[in-house]
Amino acid sequence: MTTHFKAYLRKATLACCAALLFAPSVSFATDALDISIGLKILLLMKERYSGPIPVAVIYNPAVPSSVSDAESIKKNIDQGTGIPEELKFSAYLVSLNHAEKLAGAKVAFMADNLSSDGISSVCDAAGKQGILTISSNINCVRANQCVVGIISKPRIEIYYSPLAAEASHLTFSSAFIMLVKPI
Amino acid sequence: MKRIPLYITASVAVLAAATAAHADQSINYGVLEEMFGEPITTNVTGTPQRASDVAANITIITADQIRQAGSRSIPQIIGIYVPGMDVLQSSITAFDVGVRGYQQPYQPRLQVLIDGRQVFNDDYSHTQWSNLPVNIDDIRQIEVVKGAASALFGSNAAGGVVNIITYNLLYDQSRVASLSYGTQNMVTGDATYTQHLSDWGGIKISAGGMGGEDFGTLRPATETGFTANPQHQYVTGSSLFKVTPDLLANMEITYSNGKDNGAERGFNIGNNVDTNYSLRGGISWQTPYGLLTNNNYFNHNSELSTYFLTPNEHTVTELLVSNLEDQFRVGSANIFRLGLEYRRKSIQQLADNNVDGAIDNENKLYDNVYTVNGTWLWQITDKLSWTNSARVDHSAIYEGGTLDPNYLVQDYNHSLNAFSANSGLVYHATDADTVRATYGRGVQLPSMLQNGTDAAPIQGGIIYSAIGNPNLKPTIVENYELGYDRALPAIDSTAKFSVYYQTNKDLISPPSQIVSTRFINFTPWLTLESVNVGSSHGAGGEVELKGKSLNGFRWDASYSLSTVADAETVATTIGYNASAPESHFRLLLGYSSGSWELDTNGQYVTSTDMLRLIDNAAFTNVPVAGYASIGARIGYTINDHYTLALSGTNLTRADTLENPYPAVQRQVFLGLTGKF
Repeated sequence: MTTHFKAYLRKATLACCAALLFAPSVSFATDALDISIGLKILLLMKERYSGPIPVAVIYNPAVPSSVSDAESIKKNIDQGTGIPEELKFSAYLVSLNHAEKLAGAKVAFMADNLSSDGISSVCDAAGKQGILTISSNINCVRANQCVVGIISKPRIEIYYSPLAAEASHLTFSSAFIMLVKPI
Repeated sequence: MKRIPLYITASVAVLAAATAAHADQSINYGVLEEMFGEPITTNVTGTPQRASDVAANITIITADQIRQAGSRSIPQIIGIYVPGMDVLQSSITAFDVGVRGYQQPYQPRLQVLIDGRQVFNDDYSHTQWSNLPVNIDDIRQIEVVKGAASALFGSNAAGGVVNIITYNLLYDQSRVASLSYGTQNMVTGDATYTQHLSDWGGIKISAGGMGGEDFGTLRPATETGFTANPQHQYVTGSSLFKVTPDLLANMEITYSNGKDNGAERGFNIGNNVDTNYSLRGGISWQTPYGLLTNNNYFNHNSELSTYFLTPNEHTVTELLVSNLEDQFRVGSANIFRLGLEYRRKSIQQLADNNVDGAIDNENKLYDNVYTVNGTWLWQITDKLSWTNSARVDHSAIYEGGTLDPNYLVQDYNHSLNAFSANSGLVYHATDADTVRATYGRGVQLPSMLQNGTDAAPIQGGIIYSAIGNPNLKPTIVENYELGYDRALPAIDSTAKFSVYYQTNKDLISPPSQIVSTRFINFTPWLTLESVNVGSSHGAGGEVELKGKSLNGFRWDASYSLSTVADAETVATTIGYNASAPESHFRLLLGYSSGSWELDTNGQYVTSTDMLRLIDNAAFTNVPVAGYASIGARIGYTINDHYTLALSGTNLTRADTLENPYPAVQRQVFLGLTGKF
């Protein structure tokens, strides 16, 4: 009975995650403020970052709006608008189908419209490499794929998946943990 | 096999489920403020919160606002920015800050802390604002909470809390020096130097001081001698080290010395020489069960007071605080903070200042306070949160020398328990609307001097012996409040509304009640003590509209209403009724463009009618008419390092009578600040 119940629970959870991930495409275009907030999180982590920090921007090559969102994210990072002065970043684009290009990245930004097959494997690969995954689509955090989700308008809200963080071996300052919304 | 009790299993499960807080214990206020677009505070729950989420009426004055205020006095800055706070200025450097109509010299109802360390003095229960060991240019923010906050900060926070937060040793590179000169020959000089030690620590040193001449305005004959030049010097050193990535240790040492003339606890002007030093050390430790924090400090204060009675009162007060607390999350919706605290307070009035030294030699009083406290923040839904705090203090007071024989040793040796609580609901009704409903139960314990010890100065051939009264009951303050904030993005502003009702039971009078008349060597000896004098009720509210635009303009307009109704015995002994203006209008306007910064602040307050002791006669109500005043600052940034600023207060008139104490005068300063 218990085994059946656990199995049922597991399936239900997976179904929910899948439903969240593969829900009909909703636009979550990444705001410049989302990027600025996301990169500041590095200053609130246990690990100290220095030097040029590689930032992978994940996009879906099959969806033009995803490509343009990714380019916009990269441009914002390159321009350094609202980016903490203590840190230097170098952004590069990674197609959803080429998770192997994540190697070396410290942060991965999820561009808009990634609700297709590759996101799960990309987040898994990022987690194994200790990469901080950030998205403006909170569903990615709710599915425990992305570590952090950011909504900057109308009110700034930061969501956080303790499970995804643990899987990525990422730890944050206690103040950050107290201020964000865990999923 | 023996069964493990359910409550133990449940407790272990709760702890095991707690999401451990990791990494840095010291809060990086700057980054968090930038991320969330608003100031962060720990002042309401003990855990970090966004200003818009806290279940209390809080105003956070930022470093930019402090600079733009054009004043180097913290009470003046609070008075400029915080509706509902009234400042009683009784000399060029002496201030008291009253909350919502409850104003008096030696204000006992407002707890004041610097980086969490109490700088409020337990002797008479007051804050010597003129002698705080802090560089105003090193302050990141001043957090002001209105309403009873004893559940978090203890018995001195019956009316509110001011927490002064300086720049962080690990995250902020505070290197600043400033020099100013102005009217009344006032000179100020302050400097702070921070050195980071790679990423494993930092040290900071601050030093500074001021000197000047007091206002030369009219004062009663018995107080004309108290115009000695005020001065103040301080030095502080602090350090923060990462012993391991999860263990942070801090140390701090401070020294300050000051002299000022100002309103005394007896509602008269006197002179104070105040010397303080403090030592502090503590750790923050990330554990699987949350963030464990241990904080220990020792404050020593020596206060030499001189007023129309002679000789001097020399009081030595010491405070040892040690606390241990744990902050942790349970699940996604609950944050807990559990704390234990021990406080040891002692006070001594030195015998060489007592004419009856043979009887009161080396009188000393101790108070050991044991505390259990906790906070629970429940995020019920995304929009609704409920915060609850509770605190139980057990205070054991005992005589350490020979106190006044009017009471027996067993009277002085007594204990009391006090319960304080705060509860608040915060509802983000929409993205623009936030509603708060809060309740606070604050406890104001009698001051150390009100509890015991003995000062027996002689004047006019009469000994006035102000003794302690061990029978005093604590004052209980209850505060009910409803608040509403609305964001108005169309005009880049936020509107805030609040209404409150407050009750105060068993208020404690100054030591003015004559309890016995004796004769020593044919000299009459009047013994006076503090007594519980009854109740007082307050009601009112605040309305504020503030904002700033992208083109450099900023504004803050507010109106506060504070009405107080005292029982008759309160009205004749403390006189809260009309001790502060019933209506207070404030308007701040500012503009920044390029290298220039221009700010003005104006206020109009209605009349007051405070109690005052003049020429050693009986307490008298002194009506003071309403008045308007204007302050301003013009700042010019010379280059990346230096800023020149001309600023002033009370600019429209040479003298302004603000209260029954000597009128304040126009002040103008020219200052140069360098940041490196």
